[in-house]
Amino acid sequence: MTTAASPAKEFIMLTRSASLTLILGALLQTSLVAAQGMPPQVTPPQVRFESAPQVGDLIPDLTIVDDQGNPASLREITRGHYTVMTLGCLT
Amino acid sequence: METVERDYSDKGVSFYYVYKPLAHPEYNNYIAPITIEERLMHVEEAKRLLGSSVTWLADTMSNDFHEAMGRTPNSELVIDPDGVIVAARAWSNPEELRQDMVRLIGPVDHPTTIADLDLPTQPPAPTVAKGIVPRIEKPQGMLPIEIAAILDSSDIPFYAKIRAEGDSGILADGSGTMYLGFHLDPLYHVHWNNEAGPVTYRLNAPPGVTVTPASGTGPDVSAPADSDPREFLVNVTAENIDQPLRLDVFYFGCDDALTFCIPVNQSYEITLSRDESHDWSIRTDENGPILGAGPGVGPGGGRGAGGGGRRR
Repeated sequence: MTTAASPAKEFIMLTRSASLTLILGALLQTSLVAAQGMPPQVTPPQVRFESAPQVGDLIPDLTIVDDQGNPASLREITRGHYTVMTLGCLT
Repeated sequence: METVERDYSDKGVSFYYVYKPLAHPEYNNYIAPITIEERLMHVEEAKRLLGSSVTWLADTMSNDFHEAMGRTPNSELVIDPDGVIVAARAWSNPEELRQDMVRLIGPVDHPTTIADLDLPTQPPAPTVAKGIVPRIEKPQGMLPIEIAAILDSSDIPFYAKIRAEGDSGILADGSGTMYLGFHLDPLYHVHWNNEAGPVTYRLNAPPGVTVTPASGTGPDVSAPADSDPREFLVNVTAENIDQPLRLDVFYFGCDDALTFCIPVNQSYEITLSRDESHDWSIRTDENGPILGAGPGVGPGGGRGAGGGGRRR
């Protein structure tokens, strides 16, 4: 059997031309959406975001986990300093 | 965000990436995790790929944060010390983020640029040879439907994971064409052992639901090993979609280092309703995403499924 690595041209291109935030989804999303066509049943992210917390709201009182799996409170993590949170994934 | 993080983390600003459900399962062969441990494996993979110094967090498997953020793929928040959101956007944007920092904290003399980062790039997780078993052509517009791995059905990891998708009929009332794809999770480095036998599945439908065919067997592959998906299309007629279908799958797998070759028997529940946590799947080959393989253009495409597991 052979091992076939798949050079991530998309990732490499994005790494060298954009921030990691874009690698985490934005540019990939927009380029692939344009290339592959969002189905009509799928609500565009901009519209979905209308239900998300907005400027002036408190950060949701939710529990997430750290990279070791330990629970963490969003409000505790963000208390006492400015915080930036960017959501993303590998795809 | 990395450039902004470099300039403002020493000014008291905390930066986090929060790992969420996959927006497009199958892109670069990544498969949706079904446990928090697997989601954290994804976090480690993201660290490896990106080489970022930003701290990682992850949503729980109930995806509460993802839900609260409108299930958006790449949203971004700036929060003040009192927990009040002072900037929010559906798409992360480093330029806008830097403007936020300038407004809230102040400018820096020499803003870090991407060229300054000099971050290493890594390829996605390697797999055993692909392109041996042809992909099936799916109907247009398929989107993911809810699946839950029955975690107690197996003592070993779900090396191969089901992704179930439904056409418009399935999504409307449970009757139509359903895609079943068994995809190897590249983070486990396990491949199909074709010398031992093909993948087989069996669907057990509740009263009021008919599935044709209710069982299936994957192709008999002459190559001793591969990592291509094993895919099936089934017709579903549902008079009642209140109860889930049960899917049992059986396959033989070996790890890529050939330290084990084992039979695997695992089970899932499939609910004939849309999985809102994931968007459509994106097929890729060694050259990157396959254009025209999206859900709205020609054959193929559709959203990935697989948001969690259930213990019985």
